Amino acid sequence: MKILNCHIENFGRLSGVDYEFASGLNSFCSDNGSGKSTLAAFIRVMFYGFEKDGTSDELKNERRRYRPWQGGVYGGRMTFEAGGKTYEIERTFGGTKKTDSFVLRDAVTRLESTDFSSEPGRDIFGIDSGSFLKTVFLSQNDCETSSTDDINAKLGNLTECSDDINNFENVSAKLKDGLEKLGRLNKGGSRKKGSRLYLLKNEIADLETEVRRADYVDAEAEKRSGELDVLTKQLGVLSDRRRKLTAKQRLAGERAEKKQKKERYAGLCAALEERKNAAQQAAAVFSAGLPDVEELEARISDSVELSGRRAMAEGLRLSEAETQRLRLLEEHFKNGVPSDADINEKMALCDERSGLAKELEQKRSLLSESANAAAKPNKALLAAGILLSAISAVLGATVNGLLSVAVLAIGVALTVISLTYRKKGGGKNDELVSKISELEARGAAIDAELSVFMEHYGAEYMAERAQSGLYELKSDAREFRALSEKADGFKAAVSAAETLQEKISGYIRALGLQPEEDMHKQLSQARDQLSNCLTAAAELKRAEAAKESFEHSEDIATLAADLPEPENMELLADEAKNLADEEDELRKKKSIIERALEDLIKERSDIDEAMQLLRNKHDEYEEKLRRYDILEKTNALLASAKDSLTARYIGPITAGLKKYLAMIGGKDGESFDINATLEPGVYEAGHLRDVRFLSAGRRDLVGICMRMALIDAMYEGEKPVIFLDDPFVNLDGERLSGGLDFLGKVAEEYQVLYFTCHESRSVK
Amino acid sequence: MKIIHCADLHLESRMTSNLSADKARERRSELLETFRRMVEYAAENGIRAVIIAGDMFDTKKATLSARNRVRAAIEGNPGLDFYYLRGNHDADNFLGHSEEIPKNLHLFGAEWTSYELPGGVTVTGAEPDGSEGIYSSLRLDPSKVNIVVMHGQESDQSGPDLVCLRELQNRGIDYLALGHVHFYKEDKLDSRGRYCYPGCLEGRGFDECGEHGFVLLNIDESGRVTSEFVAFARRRLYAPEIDITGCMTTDDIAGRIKLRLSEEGCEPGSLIKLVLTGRVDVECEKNSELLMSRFKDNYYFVKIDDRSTLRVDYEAFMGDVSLKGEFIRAVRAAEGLSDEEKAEIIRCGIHALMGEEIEI
Repeated sequence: MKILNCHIENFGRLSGVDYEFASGLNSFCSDNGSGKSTLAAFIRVMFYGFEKDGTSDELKNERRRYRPWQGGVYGGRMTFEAGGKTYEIERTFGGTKKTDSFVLRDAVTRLESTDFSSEPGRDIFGIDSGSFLKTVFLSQNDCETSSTDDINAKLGNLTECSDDINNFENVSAKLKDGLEKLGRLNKGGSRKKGSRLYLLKNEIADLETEVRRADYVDAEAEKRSGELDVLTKQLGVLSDRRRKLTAKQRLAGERAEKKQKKERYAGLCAALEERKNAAQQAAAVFSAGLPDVEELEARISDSVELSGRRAMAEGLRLSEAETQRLRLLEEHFKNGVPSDADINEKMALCDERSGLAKELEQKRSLLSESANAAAKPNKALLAAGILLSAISAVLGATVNGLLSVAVLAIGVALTVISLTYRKKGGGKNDELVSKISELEARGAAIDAELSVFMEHYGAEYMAERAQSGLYELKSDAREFRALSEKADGFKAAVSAAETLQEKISGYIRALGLQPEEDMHKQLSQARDQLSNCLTAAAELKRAEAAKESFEHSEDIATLAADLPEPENMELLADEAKNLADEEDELRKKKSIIERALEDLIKERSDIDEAMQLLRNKHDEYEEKLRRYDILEKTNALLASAKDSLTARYIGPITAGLKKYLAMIGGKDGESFDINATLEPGVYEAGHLRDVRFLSAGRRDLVGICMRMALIDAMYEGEKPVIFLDDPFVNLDGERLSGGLDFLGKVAEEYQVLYFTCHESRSVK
Repeated sequence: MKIIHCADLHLESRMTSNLSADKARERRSELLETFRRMVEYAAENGIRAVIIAGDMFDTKKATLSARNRVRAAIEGNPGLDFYYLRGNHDADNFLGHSEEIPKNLHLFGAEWTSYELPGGVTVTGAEPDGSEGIYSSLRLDPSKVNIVVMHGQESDQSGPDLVCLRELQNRGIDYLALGHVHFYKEDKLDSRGRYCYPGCLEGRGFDECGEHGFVLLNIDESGRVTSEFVAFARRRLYAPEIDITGCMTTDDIAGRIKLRLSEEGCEPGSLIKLVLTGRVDVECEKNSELLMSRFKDNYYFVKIDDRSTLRVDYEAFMGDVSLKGEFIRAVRAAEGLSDEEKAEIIRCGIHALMGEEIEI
């Protein structure tokens, strides 16, 4: 393949430029940034179209990268020879791939050609755009090599893919490791212990063992369920029996209850009769009818009061001495009874009489003295008077009051006469005598009044003991009044008692009873009898009410009918107990079976879960097996691809490398070769040494040799044009010359576009 | 009068096909709890009766604790009447070998059984036994509000597990309370009545995504029956499909998933199955474990169902002079491998070459 010329209409920084290319080496010397890379890219894009058209990365998106700054349609055309024919590719580029245009023409006929697709590079070279880019473009960087690179690695590096063949061993190891983890089959046909498939297999085996119990558990559950059905039916039968028995018990109970009621009704009737009789008997005591309770109680109170009154009358009854005394006093006071006031008044007169006596004595003394001085009083008369007064006093005190008073009067008269005689004897004495007379008269008046008073009450007046006489009278009067009062009280009490007695007696008679001596007792008994009577009546009423209530609440007619004899409740209770025991027994059995069934249900549930888990594990196992198969096949196909790749390229590359190394060797006695592991080296003293000990320039040449060897291997048919972008930067004078010589040799086989930015490295 | 119509509770479902044993156990308990909550809702909202139109339990042999919890919920609400018609999953009623049934639990048999409710409402039901003659024996008083309970798939035919709607038309039914279909559906039965599937009370697997709950019937004094669906499930299941075509990295895929979950409105506590679809380039870096770790903590349960396929542009590699190119060509040329296997081998090889961990 050879590029003849190209016209770049608009492409990146290049616009309206034309290039003509000769066979072999084409050298371009221009400054950096003059468009060498753009020209190279243009040629590649002519063959393949844009790469990484869809990426948003400005640098990677070639459509954007090479879009002219001024915008608009861009593109160009290129003429080349391939397969003995000359073609022209014309491409224009728009905003998107759809707006691009591509035309392939036969350069001779100018007719459109269908010899190649829209990617002629693919058809001509058999490699894609990326591989084309990675092989035929060489910069200084691509020439570097190191002692550790082998051909395979170099091949990887050449394709600028770090995760490709150079990563094969690592990838293969990883895949093998994955297969190990999944579980390789050993010779015995089993998986490696601890591997995923081995573990899964074991888990599956365990689960299958568990799951195998499902049928047994189901059968057991069915069996238990059947047993429960039987027990439930048996319990149902017992339940029916219990219901019937309960009904029987209820009927028997009802009958027993009716019987009881019947008996109770008979009892009520009998009791009523009994009460009636009792009431009648109790009421018979009172032939005149039942007394009023309050009245009876009042009469009982009266009877109590009667006893009181009687006692009181007894208390007032006069004793014999009192009676005699009263009779005596009645005699004394037959003219009346002086009051204490009357007596006190008389006692006051007594006091006055005593005062008069003293004054009289004083006056008389004075008169005596005066008479002695003037005229002697009639001593005989005076003495007689005094004597008579004295006698009067004695008489009053001892024999007779009235006599005493008469004697005293005579005495006093004689005295007065004697004194008067004396008065007549003189003036002063007359006054005394007058006074004495006055006093004596007053005294006599008092004596007379007192005497009358005393005698009115049957007492003798004695002047000298008038005071005590009055005291005695007063005492007698009081005693008389008291005794009279007592006697009156007695009479009144007796009268009242008699009245009350009559009242009570009348009441008792009204009751139809004959009053007895002890009416209180009789009345009390009557009260008791009345109480009995009332109680009996109340009981009768209650009995009537009870019977009435019973008759109201019960159907007497039914009760009256003949009732069947109730079954024996005790026997029924025994039967019920036996039934309950039987039910308990069955329920216990049922409970045990229910628990067993529950355990089975839970176990079945666990088995269900295990089944699901088993399905999951089976799926997982299958998936892992499939995965194992995928890994295994991946590994095998990768190995196969690697073998194929190396088989296809390594042989030619090795031959090519030897060829190119021979080209650069020779001078300075250097000779290059590759070792058994395809590593390039240089002979020194008979030993192939690592190229890393060479200078950078020499290493670059080795690198170019390797790349050329690769290109030889890869482009078996049409040879591509080779783009060399200043690869000899590291070579100094003589070696540069050698490098350019090497370039000339390469150009014998390939069309080479050599770009350099320095005149010293340009091909002359 | 208000009546709850529920069905297909499938209590004691295993639910281990997706969930771990512990989580499945937890979900089983949640199913029971949702039933209890529904009963509590009924008690607190003046509901007169609860109709359970079949498949209350998923398994013939439910655990004692589950049966006891259901029984306690019923017995604990004596003011509510429960009308329980067994479905094809209810091999036996949950009462098992009980000698006595709760007084407020009313059962049906293979023959039509009717229960009278206040207000002239009659609940009539017959359990499926596959007999075709069941329809002809249905007698309803047209002056009543007739609720008929059955369990089976709606159909034009009669047969086992089928409910022949044609046979039930113009029979005086006001509301046909059905069970068996796990999604809410309500439609016209005839000029008088409607039929309704309330769906399951709680979604269990990813074939039961969407809202689940019960139907609340309201019967007014004129006998007019209206119904509304009440979403009541504890958790909701989602199975969003995410087209990952064009994604080249796990991050790209995670971004698509996040967007899709947001569109779906998947709330925390849900069960999610991420269905990956589309074709991704064989070089796409897709790490399922990493994706799981991204989302599993946000939801009750997350699984990835990767149905995406690998796209291999063989032509793109034909001129690739590299081990990768050689490998892809070798795989393509390999005999006895399906396209799927080839894609997977290529993906494995490329990922290995890229230095990624080998998936085993």
